[in-house]
Amino acid sequence: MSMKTEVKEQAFETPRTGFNWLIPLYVVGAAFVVLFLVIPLGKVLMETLGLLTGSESLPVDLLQYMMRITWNSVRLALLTTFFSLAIAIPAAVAINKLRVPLGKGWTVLLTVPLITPPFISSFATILLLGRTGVLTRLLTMLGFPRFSIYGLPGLVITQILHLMPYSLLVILAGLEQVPAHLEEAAHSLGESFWGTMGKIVLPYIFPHILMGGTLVFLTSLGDIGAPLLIGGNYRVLPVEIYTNFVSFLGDDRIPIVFSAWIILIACLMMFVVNWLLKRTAIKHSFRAKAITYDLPRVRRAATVFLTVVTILFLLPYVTIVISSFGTVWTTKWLPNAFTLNNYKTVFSDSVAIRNSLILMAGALPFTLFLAVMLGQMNRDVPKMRWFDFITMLPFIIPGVVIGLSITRAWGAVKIGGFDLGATVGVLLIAISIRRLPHAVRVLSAGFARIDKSLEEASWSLGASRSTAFKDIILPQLRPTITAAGVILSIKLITELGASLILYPPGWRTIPIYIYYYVSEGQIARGSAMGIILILIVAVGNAISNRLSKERGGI
Amino acid sequence: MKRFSTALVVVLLVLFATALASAQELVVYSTIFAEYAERMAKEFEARNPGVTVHVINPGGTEAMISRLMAERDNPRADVMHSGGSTEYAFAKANGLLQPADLGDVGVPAEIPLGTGMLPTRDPENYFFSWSVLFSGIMVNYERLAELNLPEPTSYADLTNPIYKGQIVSPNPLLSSTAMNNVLATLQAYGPEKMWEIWDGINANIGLYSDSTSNTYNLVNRGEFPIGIVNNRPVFEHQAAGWPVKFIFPKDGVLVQDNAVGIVNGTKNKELAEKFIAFILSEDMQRYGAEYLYTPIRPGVLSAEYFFSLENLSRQIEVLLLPDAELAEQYRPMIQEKFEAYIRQR
Repeated sequence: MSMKTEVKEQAFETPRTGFNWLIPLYVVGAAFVVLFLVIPLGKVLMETLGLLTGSESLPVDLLQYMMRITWNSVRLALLTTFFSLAIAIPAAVAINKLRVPLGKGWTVLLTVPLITPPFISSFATILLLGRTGVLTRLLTMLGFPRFSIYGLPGLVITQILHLMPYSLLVILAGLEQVPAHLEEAAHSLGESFWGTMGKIVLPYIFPHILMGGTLVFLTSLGDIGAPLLIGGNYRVLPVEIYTNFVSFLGDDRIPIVFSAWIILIACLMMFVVNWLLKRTAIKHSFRAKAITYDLPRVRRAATVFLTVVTILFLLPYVTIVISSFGTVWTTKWLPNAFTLNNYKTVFSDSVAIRNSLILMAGALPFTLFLAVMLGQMNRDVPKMRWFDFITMLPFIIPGVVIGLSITRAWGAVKIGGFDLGATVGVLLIAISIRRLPHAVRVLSAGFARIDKSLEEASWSLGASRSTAFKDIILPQLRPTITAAGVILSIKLITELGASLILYPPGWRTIPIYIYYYVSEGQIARGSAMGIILILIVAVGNAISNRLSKERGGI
Repeated sequence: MKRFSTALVVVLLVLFATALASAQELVVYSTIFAEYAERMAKEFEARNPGVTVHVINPGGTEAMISRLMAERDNPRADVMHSGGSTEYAFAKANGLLQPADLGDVGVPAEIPLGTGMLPTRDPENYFFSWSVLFSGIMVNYERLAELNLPEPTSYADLTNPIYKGQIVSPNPLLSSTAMNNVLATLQAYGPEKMWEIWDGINANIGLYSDSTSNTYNLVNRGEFPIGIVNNRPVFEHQAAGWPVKFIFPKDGVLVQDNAVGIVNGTKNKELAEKFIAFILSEDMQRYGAEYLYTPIRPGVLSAEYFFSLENLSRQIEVLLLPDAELAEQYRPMIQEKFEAYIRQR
């Protein structure tokens, strides 16, 4: 296969028509990233680089310590990714291929963990599996040995519960693109369902599996919410960076050393992923139509599997719902009393809800557009491939660091009397930059699936690059753009780190409110706000599904 | 479909415009909790018509200082509020504050406490204390009873192996709440004996939390029945019905404060001064007391009130006044020790 594509690439190199109208759009995308990510982070790096060459030497055991927490981070990310894929792949196949009852309803249910702000979901794990957790009490009563969530096992569980849905969404998007004729051919040659899945379907969607895994891996590597709340003595890189960067009691040099190091690791990782993607590139230009299988016994097993997984994944959210209606909840099975006051308080301050909606509505189309442009640039302009690595930085650099770097670089700059840092514009920019890599990663799986030959054919027929992009690439990219949009909207509305540092007067968002409530020990109130956030995103997705259906799918 | 999108855009634009409209504004950075922040803003607005107060919480005192530093060239805030004098001294040293001229606000420069005098402001008027709090131990008595453990009464008690794994403390390398508890043992036991105590406590600590506020949540839940903390939040959780209480360690209780100061480079210095005078006023000190902040202003609470300064200091056997010089002298040693404790885990 790979030989064939190489020959093709040499055959038609460029379209006939002159100026590529996509280039200005690439410039816009790249300029945005340079202005609001590269320059701010570069500035912070340069400012603090001086500290490293200062007279005081770094602690001697720093390197050893760094290696240990690097291993902590990587081990956590690997375990989370492995288990997430082990759940997501069969779940996706079950949903997409086996005509299970409820159909896509499972996807909706399993997306709930994605929507929940990290602080709330980590606290849900404590409510459920902590020392005084409901499930812990039950398990102890049944004679299971005690186990502590404050450390690696707890982190892995929390992160799987939180991150598995990413890979599920991406893999589902992949399954929708598997050409029907391939599966039909395998079937007519006598291949069983399992054989077709193992030999045809899964290898075909390998880029999506890889990308789903990468998304989980990188998000786990950069996650700060769970390690802050339950990591405790199991220290990971982002927490080291965050705590040392923000606290003046900490060592100023540590975050710089650690940031540089984590960037290196992530680049290495992306390099491997890109190499794997290239190695496995099987491209087909046929229009996909998902085919399903009518296998009652497998379907029953799949339904049971989905039910168990869904229950496990939604249990923490059941505790959130209970807690949102409760008062004090300590050593008992349920809260001491139930009340509606938490919701009353939350609704009495609806500004946060309004703010979050405006920010998402403003940032979503813009960020999605940037992601598509940067993805197309990565495909179209081989010389700019390295740029992809830069776009990815916000994955692993804590949001607070990104927020502070933007303030430092642009906070004092006024353009024609317009004070950027004083308006909500700065917040829009920061959350877009912070969440851009999520969209770019998801889209890259979609781009990897698109065969160049169709595009080249259109070129040879006289289409310009921009026409080819509009008529050939975009339609093929649609399912992945939808998936990216879903993930992106969720990531935008739950952004916390950068928002906390940047929000201008009057622009508190829902996650900021939740953060305040949880910090004040108002878990119940935070939970109520969390439930509202989940409902908003669910309704939003339902509406957008409705709209995209009305326009008619491919 | 198209009409719907247009309508949506119009609605959003209108919302956007209303959000931008504003009067004379005072921006206060504060890590105080939301309900109290709102009350503070509303009361000040009521006394100063035409003024809008925005209270912004960047997520903790450290983050607040980081944000002020990042904005140094173009300050967004007028007032820095809440956090202890230690942090304000750091902010002052880094040029983030400017002196305030309040005139006579009725709070003496020093108030008697225990056998000594507690200063209530920076000698150069860069910052002012507005409430007093104490370091010590938080327990969840329900959970302790469930585990058949006695309530500890001192730092020394916390070294008892029966508490192994049952104690949570914020990370002293990152949290001033934890650091102040360490300083309490420094002042009570001296720079050598204190490490006997901490070797023992460290062996019992189940979790060094990177989030100070989460420490309280964990004790509330009973995840760890014992926390090393400050008194006020414990009073608040206790009042909310959680089975928790605060214990003044018999071997020493360090006095701390919440402070307020004017951000260097503000364009609203006069309004900011007015705001600080208001924070120290009888009215606002009393509202603060409603949220269980112990007022620094004498006479706001009657001495019998359970969290008045007089009453609280009566419950304390060894009252320790803050000693900034001693703290600075031993801070490197403390940092090194705790780095070792935490890295060895």
